[in-house]
Amino acid sequence: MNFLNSKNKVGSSFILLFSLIYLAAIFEIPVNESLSYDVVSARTLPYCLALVAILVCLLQIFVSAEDDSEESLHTAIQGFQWRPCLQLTAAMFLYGMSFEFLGFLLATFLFLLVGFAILKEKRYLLSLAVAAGVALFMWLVLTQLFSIHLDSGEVYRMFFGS
Amino acid sequence: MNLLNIKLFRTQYTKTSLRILFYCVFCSVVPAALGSDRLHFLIPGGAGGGWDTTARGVGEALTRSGIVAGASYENRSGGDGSKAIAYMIETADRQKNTLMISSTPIILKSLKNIFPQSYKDLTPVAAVVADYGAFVVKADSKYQKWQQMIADYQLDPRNVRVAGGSVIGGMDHVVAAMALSKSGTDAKALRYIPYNAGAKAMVGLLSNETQLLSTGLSEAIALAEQGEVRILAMTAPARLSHAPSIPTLQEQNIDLVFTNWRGFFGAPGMSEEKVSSLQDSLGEMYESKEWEEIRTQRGWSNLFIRGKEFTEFLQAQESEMAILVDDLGLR
Amino acid sequence: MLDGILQGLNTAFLPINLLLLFVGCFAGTFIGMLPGLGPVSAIALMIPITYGFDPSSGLILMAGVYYGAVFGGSTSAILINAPGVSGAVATAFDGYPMAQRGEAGRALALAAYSSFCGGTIGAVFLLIFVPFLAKVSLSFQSADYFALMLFGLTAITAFAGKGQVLKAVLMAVLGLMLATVGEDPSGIQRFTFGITDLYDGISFLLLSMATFAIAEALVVILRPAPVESEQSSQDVSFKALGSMKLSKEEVLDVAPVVGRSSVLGFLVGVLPGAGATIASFLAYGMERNLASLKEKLKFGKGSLRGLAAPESANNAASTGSFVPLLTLGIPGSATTAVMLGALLSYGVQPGPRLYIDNPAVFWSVIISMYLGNVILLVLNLPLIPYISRLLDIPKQFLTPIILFLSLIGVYLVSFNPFDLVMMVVIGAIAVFFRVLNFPLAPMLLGFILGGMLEENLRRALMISDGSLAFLWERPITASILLITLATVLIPQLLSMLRKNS
Repeated sequence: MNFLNSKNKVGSSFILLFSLIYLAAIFEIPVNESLSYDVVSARTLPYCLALVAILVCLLQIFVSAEDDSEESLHTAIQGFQWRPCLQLTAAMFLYGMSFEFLGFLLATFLFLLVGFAILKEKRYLLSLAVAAGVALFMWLVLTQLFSIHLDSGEVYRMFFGS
Repeated sequence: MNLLNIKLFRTQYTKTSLRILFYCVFCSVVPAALGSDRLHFLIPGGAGGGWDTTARGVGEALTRSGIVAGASYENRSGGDGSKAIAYMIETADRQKNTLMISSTPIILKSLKNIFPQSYKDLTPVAAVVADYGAFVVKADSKYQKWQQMIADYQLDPRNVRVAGGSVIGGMDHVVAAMALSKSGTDAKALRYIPYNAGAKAMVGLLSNETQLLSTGLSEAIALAEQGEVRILAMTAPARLSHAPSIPTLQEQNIDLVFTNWRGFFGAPGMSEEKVSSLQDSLGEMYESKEWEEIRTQRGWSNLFIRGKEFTEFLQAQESEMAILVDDLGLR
Repeated sequence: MLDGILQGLNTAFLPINLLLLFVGCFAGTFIGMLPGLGPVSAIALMIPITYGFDPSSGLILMAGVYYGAVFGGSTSAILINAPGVSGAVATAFDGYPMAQRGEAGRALALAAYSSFCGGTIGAVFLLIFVPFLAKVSLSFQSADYFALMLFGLTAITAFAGKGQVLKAVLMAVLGLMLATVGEDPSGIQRFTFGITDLYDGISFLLLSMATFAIAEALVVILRPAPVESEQSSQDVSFKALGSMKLSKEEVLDVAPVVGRSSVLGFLVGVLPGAGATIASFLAYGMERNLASLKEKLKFGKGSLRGLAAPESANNAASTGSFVPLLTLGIPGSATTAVMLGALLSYGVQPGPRLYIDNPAVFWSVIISMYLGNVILLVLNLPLIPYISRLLDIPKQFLTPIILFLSLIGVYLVSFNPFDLVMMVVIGAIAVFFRVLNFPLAPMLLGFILGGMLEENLRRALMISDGSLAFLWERPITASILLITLATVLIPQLLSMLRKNS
């Protein structure tokens, strides 16, 4: 079977790559010479893990015929809707990045609104109401009911001071 | 509330807005008074931990005794406490009313160059509670006195393995090493067995895995009173009023006093009037019966050090630990 | 003892205390349903509110909050694949597929019954064996925990479908590798690359929410929706969602599972170094190994047994974890640590003397905990039809809200925005693995066992001065290791025999 079409091989290659980076990073770990009674150092277990992972990956890629019979990657991803999925991931990423700047309320409101739009909700007024409602409701419950401190955000401070 | 929450999604938006209104009214019953005498606590760890309970205990005593109008708490964990320090420094200009809680391990971590920023970049306000290092054996242990244990240790350090609730080079390890070194033995030969919490280390001792436990006095005292374990020594300067039967290292001719303080820091560049007014508030709290109640419940020892003395105290503790960390080769 | 129990019952049944129990259960369920906020946060949030309460009332409120939060965690695990508490991860394995099939009500009801039974069996054990159990919880040393963690790893096979063993092993190793990020037991930073946000390591909650809740929500969007007439399916699923009916055969089928898992869960819970999460994984693994070939295939696809096992084990273990807390004053987990804080603030000092000197207090603690369990069932069963209809919210609204709740749940524990970004990255990688059909459950299992595996191994080696003799010198270690070997080898031998004949 074509290499790029086998789910097993693609996945194993990915983990192999990760393991190699992991292996390289092990040599950055300092070893404390003064702890002679600790026969296992901070490097020992990572070292074993990296070797096992690399071995299994190589097995998967070159030897194993494990479920090669299953559907190929190509057919498996047929009809996948990559666009909304990627857009949502990007929206979450932006939510995380802008959380401190926008503050809980504004960031959440915008994230939900964008999320609804990505998933093609056409009733804009309803979207607006739900996004505002959920953000406000959660904010009230968390800050007022449970007195959890949520940062009000740079934007809020720009307009209202601290 | 679950029910309402669901309906909030399910019903049309006319109803939604009504419900939001309802919640606004409902929640405004909970007063959210914003004033300058409201204190804000920054806690470098999660809810329910040691820093968290201390900060909330102090905040509770301050508000209930009416010294401040209210207190809010912000948990900002990450980086083993260093995220909160960095946050205090970055946002110093709007942390005028903020107290960050901290304790001895933060000095140790700064020493080992783990943190990019040091506690020295912050404004020390005051230490409020203390805990002391305690050396604990099982009730059926053959050691009755500290010196008996030392004698055995000198024969072979493997006779006395020490459990502790911190990593190697962490506070419990360092305190044990200090005590051993002051007792005239080779602290480098110490077999320190790390556990990931004081309670787990206690289990290690009780299940006969180790012969000695190095931990905080407050964590061991209840079990000692109930006769499960015996405390050979602790590192306070003198016997404590709430535990008069526990001997200090000093009276056993070991010259070591070690205090695990918990105290507060302000943002860098906090004005002197602000610092002294915060210190006054904490001093006033010390007199209140609310504080006394919370303190005894939690088993905390009083330790109030403010102003210049606090800075000097921190420096002394740092240099004392620095020598040992270097001796052990842990830096 | 009987006096103490009666006195405890009397206090607990005061109307005001029953009311508090209801309030506590309700608040706990709500907090627990927010993914990320579990019993720890719920209790920590409640302690300041109960300042100045009568100790027994405060305690009863806490008991309600505690059980409510545990059940709330299972609810979000079943409904939206977001295990808000680490003990509920294994619940999601089969609970979520059930909900996907439109049996959310049944799944929730089964979870409620199983956890009730787990709690009850745990409480009965407590009642009978308390004085003896303190010794049990101190009988395990690091070497034994190491063996137990190894045994836990054999549960990987439970997550490996046909011909997937290598993949499952690979994912478990990946989890073990992720667990090494952060400070190691000798105080050295590993794989942190100077990023302070990684110093504490990756939190289990973050990993499980990213790989389960976020990845699942994204995969639902990714996969093309099956074409069907919307109107009719909507009607059917709406009614079915709320239904809680379990047939008599199903109940009989599940009953022994609940019994076994509860006993196992309780025993694991009693050990201060193990905990409810490991208990639920072990029970899941055990049940799958015991199941018939036909039943095995259902695991992970909405098996009733696969849901009942971790749920009852989880709750029995939570009850069991009160043994070291109450008899020794030693909290074995984050949850019991915060419970200890609550007990202390009511002036109850747990320890060996409590049982002897003050049996009334001792029993009222246990009875309040048990009542929490009962009230939870009474309160939540009628709510299940409503809660399960949450899934009826249109997808375009539900998905972003799930994503938001998952993100904020993790944020509410660490308050570190870096975690939000890390979660999105891990979630995206998890989607990639899902598409490639690599199982994620073994990764979580490897992750949760990894830290403890290394810690205990290193301690055992330090104590034995570097000799491996601890593997066979202690009877507990040796027997657990033998069981582990048997679990791995016997199925292989059997299949070889089958081939020969």
